[in-house]
Amino acid sequence: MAFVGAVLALVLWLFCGSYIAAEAVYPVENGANWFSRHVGSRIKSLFAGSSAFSENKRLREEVARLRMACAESARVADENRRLRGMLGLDRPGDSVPFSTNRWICAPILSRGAAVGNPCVLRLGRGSLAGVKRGAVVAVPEGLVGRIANVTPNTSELRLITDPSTRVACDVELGGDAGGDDEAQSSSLAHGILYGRGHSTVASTEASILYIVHPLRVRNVERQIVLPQRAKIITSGLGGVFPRGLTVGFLIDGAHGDETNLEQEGDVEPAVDFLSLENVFIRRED
Amino acid sequence: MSRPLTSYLWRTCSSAVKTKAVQICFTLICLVAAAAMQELLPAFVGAKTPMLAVFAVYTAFRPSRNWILVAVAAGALEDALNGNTSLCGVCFALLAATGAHFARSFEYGMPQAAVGAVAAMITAPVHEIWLSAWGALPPGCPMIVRFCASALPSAIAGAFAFAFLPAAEVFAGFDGPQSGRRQR
Repeated sequence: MAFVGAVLALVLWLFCGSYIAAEAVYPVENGANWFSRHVGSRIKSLFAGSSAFSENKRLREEVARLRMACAESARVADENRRLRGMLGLDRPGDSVPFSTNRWICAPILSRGAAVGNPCVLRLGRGSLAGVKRGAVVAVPEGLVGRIANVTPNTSELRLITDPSTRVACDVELGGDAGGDDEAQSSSLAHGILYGRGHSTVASTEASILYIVHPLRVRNVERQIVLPQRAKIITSGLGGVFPRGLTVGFLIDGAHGDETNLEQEGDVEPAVDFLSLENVFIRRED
Repeated sequence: MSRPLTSYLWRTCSSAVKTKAVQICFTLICLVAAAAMQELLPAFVGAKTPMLAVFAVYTAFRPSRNWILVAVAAGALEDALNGNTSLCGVCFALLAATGAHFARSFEYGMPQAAVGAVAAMITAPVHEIWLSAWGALPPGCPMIVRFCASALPSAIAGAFAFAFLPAAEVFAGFDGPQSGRRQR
């Protein structure tokens, strides 16, 4: 009887353990987060002195300006949708109405799970806030990753630097890019972005510096000349990531891959993953 | 009927059962707090302080028969937080707790906090080796760096745990006047 109970407990833990553990640890993590934000920020403000007041005033003005811009964007989006409808240019992905509540702000509770995997972050919003598995996560600077697991109050974010991540993307070629053939006539080149994880600076010797490996864009057409510092954005192909989110910038010119049929290049992420405090989760309506 | 069930149970249970319930709750709170601390402590070059294993080691050091259960629970919690289904954390917690249980028969000529610091300092690098052997270690960081990065914070955490937990246990009723009063 005890053996059957133990086996049942094991099976239950293997299937629901992650869910239960994340929810059990959430109050403590959230408490620590709350303490850091409320008490820590007050202590910092003591040392910041009068600059905090002027910064507060500037931020209020910035928020008011952004509200105005948001309202204007909603009007433009409405007009754009109406005109597209009149021209018959509607595509399935374009019919989503503009919403200012599409992005859910989520604080980062902890990094790296229990063993320190740098590509995993735990966020303080879950299914109760409308977060779903697979949702896209971004910040104003660019794309951050996707939600891998969701519990009622927390969610697990997998960064785009994770080696298992693939993102359909476009390389912006700009107006003055070289190349003379048909492919170059388009201002975008399609490619697939691969995450390459994190490591210390030198893998062969002891080093305490901790860096994010550059991402890599692959499968770009061979004939296209990619400019240096070209911007990489999500292409929306595949339907996983929405179109137009900034991913990063090409570090230097691309080179041919091992087959020499296509080219690839290293990409510097647009987001500084180590300094993130809040992220925005896209709500799928 | 108007009274809640918990209140009814609390009034009808014997003192020994109440003490046991308080002890179980205390252990669960310690496990959750250790798991949260393990997640929250800054990931220095990717290494984390194995707080759950330190708690399992502490429980194995004290005169208790439940150290195996605590070790299994600590390991299961770590596995669940990592999304690891290979029971790597459970096996490590059991190994660490077994080692500590046998080591408790030696006589130590040093304070309890120092014993905790040394025990945690040994546990942390072994934890890294164990994760590496099971393939559960995230790639991209030299092992020697992770050894140092996990051992140094572990020593502080171990010393703190071994110094603080005995007093907290007496307060919760594992030993001392609180426990005696309930059982009378």
